[in-house]
Amino acid sequence: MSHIKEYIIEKIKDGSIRPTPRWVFLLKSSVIWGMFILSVLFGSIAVSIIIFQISDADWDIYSKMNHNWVEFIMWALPYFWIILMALFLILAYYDFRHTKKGYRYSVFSVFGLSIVTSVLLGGGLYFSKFSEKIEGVLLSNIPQYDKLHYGKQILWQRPRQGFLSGTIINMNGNIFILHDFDSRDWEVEAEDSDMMPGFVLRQSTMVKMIGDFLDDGRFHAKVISPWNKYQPVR
Amino acid sequence: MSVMKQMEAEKQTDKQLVEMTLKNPDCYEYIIQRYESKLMRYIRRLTNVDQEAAEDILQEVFLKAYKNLHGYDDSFKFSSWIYRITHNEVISYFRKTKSRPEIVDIQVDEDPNVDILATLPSDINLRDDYIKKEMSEKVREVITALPEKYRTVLVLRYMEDKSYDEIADILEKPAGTVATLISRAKDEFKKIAEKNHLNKE
Repeated sequence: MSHIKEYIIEKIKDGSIRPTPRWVFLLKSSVIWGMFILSVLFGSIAVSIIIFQISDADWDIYSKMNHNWVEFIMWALPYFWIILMALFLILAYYDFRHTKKGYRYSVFSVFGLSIVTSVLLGGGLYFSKFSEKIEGVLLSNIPQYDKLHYGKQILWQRPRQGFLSGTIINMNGNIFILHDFDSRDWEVEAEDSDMMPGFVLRQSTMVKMIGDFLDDGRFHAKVISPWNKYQPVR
Repeated sequence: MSVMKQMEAEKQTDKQLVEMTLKNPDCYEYIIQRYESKLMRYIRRLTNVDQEAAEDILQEVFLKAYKNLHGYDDSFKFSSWIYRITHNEVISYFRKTKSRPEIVDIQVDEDPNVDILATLPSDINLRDDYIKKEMSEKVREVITALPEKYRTVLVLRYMEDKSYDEIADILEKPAGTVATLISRAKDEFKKIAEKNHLNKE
């Protein structure tokens, strides 16, 4: 018997080494697969919200905003969710790579598969209105969430060009006081404004408006829309 | 439980030996016996460590393989699995000792009748012209001078006679990557052989 064999057999016999139980390997494998599935699932949710936010951008009025469409898209892209989606994709790749046979597949095929799955699932979630619900829940429960729409805020915070947005803090007939994203207060005249059917102006409502700059602190609203399609429940 | 006779053990497949070991740990000696010299040779081919260090690595390989025996998936070849452990252990050894596999100077006698480069274009040539014609020592020396990633694939392909899929399983890389590595390794091999005048002048 070679001395290596002798040494190993001796160690086995005196009980100083023993095989790790099968359940440990099963658990490890299940955790990795579970994390992979969760990563793809969260990636899909991110994709569905990206689709929702892009489709919810103000495409109908972009021509009035003096931007070409490329510039408009750059402003409208939901960067927070795009970064989150990329992180979930990387996590999904990392998890898949650590499955038993994950190494057999190239980086491109794993990423490709994850992207296709996320887009298909994300598309499904978008069409089933799940992303709208998520967006509504986030807006209702996370006060800072709205600040992530930074590009949108810049687009709608140009009163001299006729674009103004913010939160209504006081209503008085057809005139209301608006607190904008730069923390300035405006007196807004809204007596002949167009509004989408069913949309009612109330205190705490976030709105975006197209109209005329009258003078510092005064704005005349021609079109008033809710800031988000889905208003947070306050 | 008495351990089976040597002759019987030799007839068993690797998978059967693994199952038997999980029931009776004494059977592990047949696995060790079957792979000891192969893996020792593989370690020596990958590295230039002395016999003692090679034995330390090998010992660790068998200990790890035993501890992880329940993790062995029989949809893989057992040999690929234990070669993978060996490969990882070699890397781990060099990490621990903070050294790299030593690169040796190639000093071979020039033989005007030998044209290593001419034999490189195909896999068959590599095997037939050198290994079969007992020229493997020169090839081995050139391989030793290669960077570790190239050396490993050439050792596995041409010295350990592993298929691309087996190498993929050992190194945990896609088969396409293995094919690319082998192709690049062959190019590197040619360059080093040329640089050291191992081809016919």
